[in-house]
Amino acid sequence: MQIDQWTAFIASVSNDAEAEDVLKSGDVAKIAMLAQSRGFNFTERDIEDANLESGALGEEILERISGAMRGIFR
Amino acid sequence: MQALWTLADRMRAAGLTPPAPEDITPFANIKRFHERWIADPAFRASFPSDPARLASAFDLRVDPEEMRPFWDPRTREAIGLRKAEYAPVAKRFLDFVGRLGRHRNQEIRSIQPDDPRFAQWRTRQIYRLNLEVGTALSPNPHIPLSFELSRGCSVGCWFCSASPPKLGDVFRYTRENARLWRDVLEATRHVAGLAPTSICYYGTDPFDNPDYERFTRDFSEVHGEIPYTSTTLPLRDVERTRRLIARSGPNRLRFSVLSVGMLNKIHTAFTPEEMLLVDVALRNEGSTQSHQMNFAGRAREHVKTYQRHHPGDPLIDTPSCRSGFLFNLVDRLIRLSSPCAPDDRWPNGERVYEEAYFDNGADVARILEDMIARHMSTVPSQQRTLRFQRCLQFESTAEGFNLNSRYLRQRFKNLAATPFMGRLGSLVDSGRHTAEQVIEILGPGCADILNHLFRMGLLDDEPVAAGSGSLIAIH
Repeated sequence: MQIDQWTAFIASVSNDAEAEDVLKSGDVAKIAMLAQSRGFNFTERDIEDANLESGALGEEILERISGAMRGIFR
Repeated sequence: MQALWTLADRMRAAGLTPPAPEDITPFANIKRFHERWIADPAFRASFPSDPARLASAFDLRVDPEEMRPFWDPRTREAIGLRKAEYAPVAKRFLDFVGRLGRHRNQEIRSIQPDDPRFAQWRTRQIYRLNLEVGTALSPNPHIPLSFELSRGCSVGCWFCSASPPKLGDVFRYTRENARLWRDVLEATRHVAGLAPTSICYYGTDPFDNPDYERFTRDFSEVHGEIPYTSTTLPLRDVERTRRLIARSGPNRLRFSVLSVGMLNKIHTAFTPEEMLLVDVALRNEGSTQSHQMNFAGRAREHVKTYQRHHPGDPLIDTPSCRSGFLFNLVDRLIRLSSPCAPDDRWPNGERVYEEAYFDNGADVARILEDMIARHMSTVPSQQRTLRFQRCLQFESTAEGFNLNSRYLRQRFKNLAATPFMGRLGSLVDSGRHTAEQVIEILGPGCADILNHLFRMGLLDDEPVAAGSGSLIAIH
């Protein structure tokens, strides 16, 4: 998997609570299925290549509210 | 004077369905409860033991039981396991904020500079940053344009990533300045296209400029909408702020809050309904949002204070939201920059590619074209020595090579059409060859792969110090 595909996949998941939960579960099989449902042909090894433990994926519901109310800037 | 709109008007103007009229007050009250919960550690400590009394003491007009998922982690867990449900009003509120979030993402996805060189450069910056700091579910907008209407800032937040000087000159709306402003906006529209997601502040506070609203009105006439505003001074002139709230659509206005006391005053000055579309960024000590505070800019000079706000390892994310051109109208300065992880070289979390000064609108058009030509090539420079971005580790493999960042491993394989892949990776990793030389060694067939690596933001394009490179120099 390459960065353009990963970037596009994360963008497709953003603000879809159920899809975000699948992503945060770290279950590579489920994430690969989610990706396929969004038109991305990722293997389980592709998902393992993305380090889901680090990065900015760990939002809880309170942060999801803050994030959604955040406006578009940091 | 622009009309002051109702909340429903402002949401419809943004293409969003407003909440049902009977939901506006409940939603506004839930949002206010949420702000108190996030900001106030004493409130968080005492609320669960006596919710009704605390809600009343803070004038929070919510049913604590309906709010339970927001303050009781066990209830949240039960909802996650589908053993409990949100109260209907809380569910509708979450749907509402979900719509706002999706609207924000659509706005970000719509950002596309008109100039194809600029557009491709910005995309490369997005990929490179995602490899440096991770791909966030809340995407960085990488806005192409930003404008500062004063020099420095009167607030002086200890954590400010832009680390500006104290407030100096302010760009007032004189006849001459208004003409220059229009010329700058028109020149930027030629390269960026309509750019309504721009900002008219950065290392400045909008309300330090008494004419901010006049400038933003001109901006909206050229770029289609009033720009996004973030201020730490919503209480300096409450009526001025109130007028700005009434003109600001969803995802268009933010108050930065520095203390619980400041939040108290905001909650006193503005009604919950007025604040429903205002983002409140809680930067105070004890806020649960403290973990989002970057170790960049002035925070790097206040390590102990930073550690109080953000115990543990510092957050190395980027504070910047800009991949493009910043204008300071006081100094008549144009800077081309892009977000990066803050470090000793780029402590503010922004790479600066070039700076130049202008006198008039014609200068601006010429400088923008020059910077685009110098820095936004759509293929790798034939002369510059090739390297991978320094956030990437090269790994030679039996199949070809991998490029590993902290967040993603990318595999590049020797295939029938690209039998040279592993060798190409080694040549780039050696840091001793230009694109021209690599093509000479491996043959013309590798040019497409070099172009691909370049477009993915994998080849080093970090600015080099003045005088040390022919492609990129900081003037």
